[in-house]
Amino acid sequence: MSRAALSVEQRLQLLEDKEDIRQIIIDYASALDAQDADAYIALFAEEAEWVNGGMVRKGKEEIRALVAGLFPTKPDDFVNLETFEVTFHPRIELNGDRAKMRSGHLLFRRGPGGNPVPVLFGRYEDEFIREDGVWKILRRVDIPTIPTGEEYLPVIRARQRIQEQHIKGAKG
Amino acid sequence: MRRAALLAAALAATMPVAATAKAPAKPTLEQRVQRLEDEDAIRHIFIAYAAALDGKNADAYVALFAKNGQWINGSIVRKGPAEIHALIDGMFHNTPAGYVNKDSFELTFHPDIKVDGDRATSRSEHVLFRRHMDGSGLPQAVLFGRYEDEFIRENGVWKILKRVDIPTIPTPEEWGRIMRARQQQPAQPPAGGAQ
Amino acid sequence: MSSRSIEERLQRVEDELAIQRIIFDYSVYLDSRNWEGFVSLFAPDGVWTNVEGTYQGREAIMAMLGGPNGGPAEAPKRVNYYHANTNWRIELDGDRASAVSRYLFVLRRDDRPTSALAGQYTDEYVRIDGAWKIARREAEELIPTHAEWEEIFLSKVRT
Repeated sequence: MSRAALSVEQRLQLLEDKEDIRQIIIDYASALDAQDADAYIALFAEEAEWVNGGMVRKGKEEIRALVAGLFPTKPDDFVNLETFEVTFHPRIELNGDRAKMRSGHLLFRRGPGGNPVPVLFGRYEDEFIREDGVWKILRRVDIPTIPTGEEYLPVIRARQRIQEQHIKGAKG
Repeated sequence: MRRAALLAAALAATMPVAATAKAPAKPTLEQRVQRLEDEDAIRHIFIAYAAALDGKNADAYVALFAKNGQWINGSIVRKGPAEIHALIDGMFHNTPAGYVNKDSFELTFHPDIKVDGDRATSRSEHVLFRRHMDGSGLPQAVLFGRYEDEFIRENGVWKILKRVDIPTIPTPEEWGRIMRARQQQPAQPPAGGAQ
Repeated sequence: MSSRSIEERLQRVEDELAIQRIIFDYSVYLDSRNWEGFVSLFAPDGVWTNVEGTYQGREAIMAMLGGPNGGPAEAPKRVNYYHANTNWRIELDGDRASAVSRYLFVLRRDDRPTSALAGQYTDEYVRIDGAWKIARREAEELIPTHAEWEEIFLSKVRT
């Protein structure tokens, strides 16, 4: 569709839609950093899908169960001093009440000297839907790239084991 | 999320009049364009701020603050352009014209801007990269911090009314120790060519 | 600001977003080795330059890259590097524009992303038949500098 054929209002709507979708990604990273499960879930559509390699979660309840396991209980004024995400290159293609976006992200973790160290570069391939007038994530595909999913899995498992030991240690 | 009200208003406007009696007025085209422009102008401040730090340009840095602008980092508070200028002058000593920083740069991201008339608030994040201390010359992320800001439209131009700088990884205490250690190191030789 | 019509003001926001998109696409095409996509971002007489040399026109830029290579639209699953662009400052002036942006080049090392190079792009843009194109891009390595980067790269090749 050529832009010349669009009214000023239609052109404005396209910009607003892209702006709202970019905002979802900022809210998403902020929910991850804050480990805020409610804020995280609120970004997804009712029929949403979350995909990472062979791991698929369908619907808000399955996604909630996934993040509830990842985000430990914490105080309201929690500040994440261990990790943060940088996201970049949001490339959005709009199609009425649907949209697609590809973007990149870099996960940093506190290093031994206290300084941030990049640990994972990944890509997102997302689909969005306008649900009751609000843009929501319909499908988020998370593609770990450096390292790849296969390479990253052992890192995650090792970290989970350490966390479990800490929890056991704290309980014992 | 923050635009739900706006979108609801837009939807409501297409409904029969009776149903919209309590709905807020639909924003005009002009108001909608204004919002995009305002958010864009404030995003420009983040980038200009980082560029002023990278370029060690005290005048450009101070020009981003409002008449009553404040800069806060922990217990350090500077109020007004003169105090902020004094703070930054100590750090940016005699920067030559055309200076290009080959030692550090600020990566700013995730501006979360909320505009309300001639005021705005925002949270954003930044990572400071420095030339690696191991002599390899590679960039090393040394600090992840958060900004919590207030902005004001002053004579039609958005300015920083309050910037709170919150070192996060490492924590302010750790960062203070790192900075003191760095100051005790002998000065690094100037990097690269004359550009 | 108020002297501009709504349409003109809208146009400025659209222009800025279109140029932002070129800044992103440049890195995406570069990382996925999609050279056709890469050169299509340039004006027919567009210039790519760095401290090593200057290449004018799509053919010359394509030759610099090593000839046609229709890479995938996105990076393949296993990649060894990528560029992340940030901090873009775009100045519009009718059918011309300029921009300065940052890039961080990240390399795979020991199966981890390592920040290997930070630099800056200084660009000029031109609107041709309604589409923004790169008229000139200057790439500058900063941390490490070009000379240092060559030293690091060449020492790796030697060992």
